[in-house]
Amino acid sequence: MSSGYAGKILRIDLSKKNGVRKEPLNLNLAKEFLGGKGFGAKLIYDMLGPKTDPYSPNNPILYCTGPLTATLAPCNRFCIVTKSPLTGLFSDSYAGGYFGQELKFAGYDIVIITGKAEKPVYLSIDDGEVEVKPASHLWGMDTYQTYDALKKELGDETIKISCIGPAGEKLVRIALVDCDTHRQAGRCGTGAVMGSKNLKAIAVRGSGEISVADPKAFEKIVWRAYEEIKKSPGSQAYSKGGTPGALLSFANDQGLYPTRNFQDGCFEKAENLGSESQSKNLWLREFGCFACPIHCSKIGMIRKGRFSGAIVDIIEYETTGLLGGSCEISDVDALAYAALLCDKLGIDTISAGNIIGFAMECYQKGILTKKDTDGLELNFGDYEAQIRLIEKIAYREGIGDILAEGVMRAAERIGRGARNLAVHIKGMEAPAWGPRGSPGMGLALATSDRGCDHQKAWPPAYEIAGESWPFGGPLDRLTIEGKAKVVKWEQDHLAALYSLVVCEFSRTGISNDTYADLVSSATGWEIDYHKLLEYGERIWNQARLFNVREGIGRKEDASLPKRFKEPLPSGPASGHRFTDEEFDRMLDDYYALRGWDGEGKPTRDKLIKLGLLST
Amino acid sequence: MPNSPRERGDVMTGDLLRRYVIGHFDLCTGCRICELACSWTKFGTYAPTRSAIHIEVRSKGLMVQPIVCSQCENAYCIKACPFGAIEKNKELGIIRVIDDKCTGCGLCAKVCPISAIKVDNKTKKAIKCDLCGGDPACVRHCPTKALELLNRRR
Repeated sequence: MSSGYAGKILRIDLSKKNGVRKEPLNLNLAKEFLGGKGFGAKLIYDMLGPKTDPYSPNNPILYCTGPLTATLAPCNRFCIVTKSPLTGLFSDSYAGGYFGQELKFAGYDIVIITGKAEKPVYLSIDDGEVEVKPASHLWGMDTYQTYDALKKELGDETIKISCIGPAGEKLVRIALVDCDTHRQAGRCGTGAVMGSKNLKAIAVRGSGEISVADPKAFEKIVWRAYEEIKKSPGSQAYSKGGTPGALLSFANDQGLYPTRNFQDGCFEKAENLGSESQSKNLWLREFGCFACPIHCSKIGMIRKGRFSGAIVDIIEYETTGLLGGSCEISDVDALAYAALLCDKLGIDTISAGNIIGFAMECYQKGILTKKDTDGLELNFGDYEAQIRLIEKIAYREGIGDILAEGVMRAAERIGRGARNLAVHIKGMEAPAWGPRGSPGMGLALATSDRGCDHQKAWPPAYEIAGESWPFGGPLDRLTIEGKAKVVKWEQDHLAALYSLVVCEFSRTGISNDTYADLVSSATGWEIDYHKLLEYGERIWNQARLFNVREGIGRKEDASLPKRFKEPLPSGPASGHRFTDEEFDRMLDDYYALRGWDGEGKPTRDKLIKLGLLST
Repeated sequence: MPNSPRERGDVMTGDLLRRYVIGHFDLCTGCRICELACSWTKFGTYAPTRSAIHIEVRSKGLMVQPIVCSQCENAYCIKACPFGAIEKNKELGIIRVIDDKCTGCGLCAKVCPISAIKVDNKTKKAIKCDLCGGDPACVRHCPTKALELLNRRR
C-alpha cells in the first residue's frame, strides 16, 4: 500500500478458540477519520452498545496507528482507545516509544481486541503469524519482569512489547499500559481493561515496510519538518530540559502548579524537581522515541540514598506536579523512584499523585485517620508513605483498595466531606495544571472528551505566555471573552494531530501547513490545513457523540471540582476562582461555537455538515 | 557534493584510507531516525529491518549503540564470501556488495562479529553500509550528531 497505511486490520476475539481475523483496512474509514484517535472514535461508537460496563468482554481495546506512524515524519506515535473504567467515557491514551510503529511494520493499522480469555494470555504477533498464548506464568509480574520473561521466552531481545503490571490485573481503575519500559499509555485506566480481558501483554515483531503516496514530496516535507524543529526555541527547550525544563518554572511562577492537592498554585520547593536538579542528580543520556529529534525524555540513575543504583527515566513535568508538588514531595531521588515504581506496578503517575495528594489532605484534615490507613501516617511531604501507598493502590491492599477506585469513587466511599477535596472532572483526576488564573484552561479541562485532561487543549500558551494562534493574537489573562474560541481551535487541531498520529510536542516546531503537507503527501489526498481542522472537528464530534450517548451533557461539563471555586491563595493570579456564572457563560460560548445545543449535544445540522449524519 | 574523497582533498596519493560511520553511544537517543533514513535511501520505503544501520539497546536501557559497518581493513566478510561478491574500493574506502555475484547465502552475516551485514528479506542479497557513496543519509539525519563520518589516513 503506498499511502502511509499498512493496509490491514487485525481482530482478536479472546472469548473464541480461533478468534483471530484479518481484514483489509477500509479506505473509506481512513479517508473520513485519518487514523489514531479518528479510527478509535468511529470504531468504538459503532462497536459498543450504550451504557456497556467497561469491564464487559464487549468493550473493545483498539490499538490505533495513523498514516504518519512508522514513517520518518517527526514524533509519530500510536494510541489506545477503549471505554474508560475511570470515567465510563470515550478514552484515548497515547504512547511514543517503538510499539505502535512495530504494529505497522507487522502489517496492521489497527488491532481490535474484544472478548475475555478464560485464563491469562498474551498475544504474539510475528508479521502474519498471530497467536494467543498462555500467560499464567507472567501473571503477577511487574512490567519490567514481564519484558524480561517474554524476551527470553520468544528468544528476541528486540521484540516490542506492551503489557500491564499487577495493577491492571487487579482492575485498578488508574492502571496503565506500559510500552517498552520507558513509555506508557497512562491515562484513563486502559490497563484495567486489558486486565479485565485476562490479557497480560502483546508482543510484536514486524519486518514489513511503509510506503507513501508521493515519495519525492514526502521526503522534502519531512526534511522541512526537521528543519522547523531544529530552528525552534520551543523545541530546543524540550530537547534540553524535557517537560520539566520547558514547563515547570512557568507553571509554578504563574500559580498553576498543583501544590498540596491543589490547595495552592506555587510550590516553594519546586526548583528541587526542575530540570537543572534532575540533570545534576539523575540524568545520563537523552532518550528519543521513534523518529523524534526532540528527545524530551532522559534516562539516568539514582546515585544516592536508599534508591541508589536504580535506572530511571526523566521525571516528567506532570509527574513532578502530582507525585511531587501535590504530595509536597521535593526529594528528587525519592520522586524518581516513585515514578519508576508506578511504571513497574502499572499505574498512571498523574492519577496516582492526585489520589495520594487527596489522601494526604484527608489525613491533614482528619477525614482519614491512622485507623483508616492501616497505620500509615499520610503526612504531606512523607515520601516513604507515598511509596507504601503506591504499592497498596497497585495491589489493592487495605486503604489502597479504596483509592484504587480513583479519586471520585474513593471520596464517595470515604464520605465525611471527602468529596470536597477530590480534584477531578467526570471521574478523571486533574493533571498538573491548576486552572485558577487560567480560565481557558478551566474550560479545556471541563470539555475534554476524556475527563479532566490537559492534552486536548492548552490555552495558557495564549492567555498567559502571550503566544499568538492562527485566528488571533494573545488573550487577556483573566477575562473569559475569546477563551471558548481558542479552546475549540486547540481541540480540533489536536484531534487532527492525534489522528496522524503525532506527539503534541512536535507543535513547538512544526508549522500547521507542514502537518497538512505531510499527511497529503503520505496519503495522496489533498489536505490543506483548513481541511485538516475539518477532520479534527469531525473527530472531536464523533467522540462527543459517544459521550453524549453515555449521558454526558451540560451538567457534567459544568461540574468543576469545589477546589477550583475557592480563591487561589498566591501567585500573580492570587484570588482568582471560578464562579458558576462566569463558567456558564464560557460554556454557552463554547457550545455555540461548536454548533451544539444548550445541553452540549451536537445539533442535527452540525452533524450533517460534518458528514457524521446523512440527510 | 564533490564526488570522491580525492576531489574533496581528504586523500593523499598512496595513503591507505579508512572511512566509516562511527556511532557514539553517549550521544545516541535511540530514535532510529538513522534506520529510517537508510532504508528510505536504499529502498524508498521505511523499513528498519532493511536498514544497514541498527540501534542496539544495552545495559537495561542505560545505553543505546548504533551498529554499522566499520569498513574494516581486515574485513571478515570479504574473506568469507565464497563468491567474491564483497569488494573494497581502496580509493573510497568503501566495502560494497556486488549484487550480481551475491547469492544471499548469508555467510557474511554469520562471520561479521558486529552484525553489520545481513541478507535482505526481500531482495535476498546482502546489504551493508556503503556510505551512500560518501555522504551517508544517516549521518545527515542524525539529530544529535551521534553518527559521524570518520576519515582516517595512515
